[in-house]
Amino acid sequence: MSAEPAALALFLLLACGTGSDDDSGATGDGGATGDGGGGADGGTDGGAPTDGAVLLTDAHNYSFSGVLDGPSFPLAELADSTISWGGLTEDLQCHALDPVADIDNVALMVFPYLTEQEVEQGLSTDTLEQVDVAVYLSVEPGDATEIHLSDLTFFGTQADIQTEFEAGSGAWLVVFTTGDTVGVGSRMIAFLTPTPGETATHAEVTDGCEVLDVDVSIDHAEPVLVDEGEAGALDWSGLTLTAQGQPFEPLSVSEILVARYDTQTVADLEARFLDIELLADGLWTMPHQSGTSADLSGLVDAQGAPFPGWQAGGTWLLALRCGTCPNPAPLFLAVVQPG
Amino acid sequence: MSPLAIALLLACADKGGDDSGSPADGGATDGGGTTDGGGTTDGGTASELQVLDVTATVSEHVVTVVRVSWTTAEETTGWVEFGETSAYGLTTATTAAGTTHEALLVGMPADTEVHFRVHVEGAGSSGQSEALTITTGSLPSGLPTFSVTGDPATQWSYQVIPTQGTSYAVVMVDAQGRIVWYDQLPAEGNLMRAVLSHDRQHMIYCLAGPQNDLASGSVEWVSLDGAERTNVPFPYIDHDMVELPDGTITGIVVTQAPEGSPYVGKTADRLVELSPDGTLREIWSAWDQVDFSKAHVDHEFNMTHGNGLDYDPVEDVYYMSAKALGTIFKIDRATGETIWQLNGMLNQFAFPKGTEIVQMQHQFQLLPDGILIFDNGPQDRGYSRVVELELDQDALTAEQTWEYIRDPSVYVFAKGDVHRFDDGTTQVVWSASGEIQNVDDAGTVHWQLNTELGQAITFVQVLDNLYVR
Repeated sequence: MSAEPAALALFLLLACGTGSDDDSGATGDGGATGDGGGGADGGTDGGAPTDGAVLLTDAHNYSFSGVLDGPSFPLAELADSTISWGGLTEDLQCHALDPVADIDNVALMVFPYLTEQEVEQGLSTDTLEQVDVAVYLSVEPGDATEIHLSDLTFFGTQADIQTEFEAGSGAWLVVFTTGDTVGVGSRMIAFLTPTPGETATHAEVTDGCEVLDVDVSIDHAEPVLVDEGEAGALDWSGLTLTAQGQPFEPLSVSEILVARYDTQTVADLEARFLDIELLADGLWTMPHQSGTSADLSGLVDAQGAPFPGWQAGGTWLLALRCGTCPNPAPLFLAVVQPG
Repeated sequence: MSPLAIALLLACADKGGDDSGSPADGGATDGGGTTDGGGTTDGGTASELQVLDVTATVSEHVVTVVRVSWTTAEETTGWVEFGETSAYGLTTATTAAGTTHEALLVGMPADTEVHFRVHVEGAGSSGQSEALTITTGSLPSGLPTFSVTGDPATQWSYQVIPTQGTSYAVVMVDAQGRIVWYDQLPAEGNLMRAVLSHDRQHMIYCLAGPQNDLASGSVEWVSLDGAERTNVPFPYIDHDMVELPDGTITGIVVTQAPEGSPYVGKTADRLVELSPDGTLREIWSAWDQVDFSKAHVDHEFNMTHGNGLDYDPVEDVYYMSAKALGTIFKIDRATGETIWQLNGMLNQFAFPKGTEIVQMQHQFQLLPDGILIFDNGPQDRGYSRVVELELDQDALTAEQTWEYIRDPSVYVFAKGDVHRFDDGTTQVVWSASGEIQNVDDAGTVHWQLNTELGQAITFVQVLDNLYVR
């Protein structure tokens, strides 16, 4: 049995890109320089700002906090309880979901030293580490909408995890996902709570609309000023914090997104943050391979048409996203003002 | 093609490598004001031998690796000293005698100005280039990130860490947890182990392939500049491999029970060598060497489940951990005979009464007077640990002399690795839990690395240098 990882992605606020096929990524062919020669090397290293690029700073960044409150099901200890989701028709973003067609994988994670609230908090803030997880099991249900605990395996190896379903064993998190890409596609979460004296052996997971509550502030941040008519370039080497206040990790940026809204105001977008992609009148994305700068001429829309450049009018958003973070809320998002 | 031939081919191919030989961006200038116009330097100083045409290029495949080339008018050997400051601190291996030379600078983090200087030696004289710099590139997105606490270890310089999960990669990190080498891999390869080769020219991967298609297993060599990779089929290799000093790769190979066996339909493991000339040779077979009638593993599909392998060149013996049996075998490479069986269902050693049994173990390390074992333990025990046993291999006695249990404890359901340093401290790799600890004999943690949620570690290689001396 190979060592497969425990992994998950919650808060599927935005589709998570995972980078491009372009692996050139070559940067820093700087050549050798004698002492004192300096080291300008193409502009995508983590050092000096890229010439001519718009500099992004923490002052431009929105703020994001999410509160997860997944349903918790008290269940009988040591029982091979069932979990069903036939009534799960809206995910935790409150988007429509087909419980048969859209749930491709059901995973169980046990956090031995954390409470359910601590798990939710850790997921919300991207502060959990792998060492927090003791068990990762999963099952691909096919067309079924119900499983037993005993159906969960360690990548095919029987686990009989129900024999450890006892009070005091930590937080038991179930994650329902679309697709089988590790870390991507979470649609719903629930906790199973082994409870002394409890006789219930069935958990019925339903509507996810109440699970996720986000608090977003975009309007407080400084707008990013860009030249009208140009795509331009970005340089985020000066960012130090994510929108959640965590240290900004440049390696995490895997996609750049630009969206235009003809009628929506910033306040509208704050109120419907989970739908910012759906609401966009223009949407362009590009994978990001490495470094802390990018030329936005690589942005394309869903049909492959290139980004025409910043135009006056409407509301413009710019986002830097992480395709593998447990919380895929953009690391950086700002209002852009062409002028 | 044999691995040796492959290695030679790669060595040649490396010369063409990832750079075109054209002047690097920005060109190279010497501090003395003379530039040869070709992005290189005639960098000789007052020494007798002149170092000519120094060129440095960041690898486009591994942007933390720098290729330095130079020439001399007469036959010389040479090397490069380099580092993050003008104090350098690292040196490459010495080049072969000749007039054209090159070396890879390995061990530098991304986005770092690398200081370097070329040294040459010829008949009775020596020389050096001026002090030069080049800046490494930015790491690609999607590589794992680590958090590190504690003092940088003094017993090692680098570690090769394969990761699985939200990103599948092999990375080499320094004591600060900074990535100095990397390779992003497809998950389907099912990487089991990665090691820097003995000759320090390649990273070698044990790729088992999907568990339902072990026939697709292979071993892969990747040049350190990432420009060349060669994959050699090694069907049914699984869980672990070891590279012998001569470049032979020995793998644990899953094998069906032979016809006529009462266990037809089951599998067990063999040790198979892939020699540098490309031939495969069976060294040991569980179907010949294990008396399964005493093992009570009829319920297991793989009745040995080999999951850890070491080689001792002094005794020319292998050690293999068999998880299903709970047993570690000592195997004579020359004869293919089992020398002894430690622990588990086939244990031949006498333990003091009351000793807690090692179960579901993974990697281990033979010590001068004993053995260090990562004891995963059964799932219902709920915790994993590291155990040191004192062994008398003549009297076949064993006694536990040390154990380490993480506080709070963790249960590692897959993999697990251990390493004892010369100063007596121990590295513990809590693989599936994404944590590496350096602990002393009192259990005090002096250094620790953690992965983000969703990122597991397999087996780890500890390195004290990156060049053959």
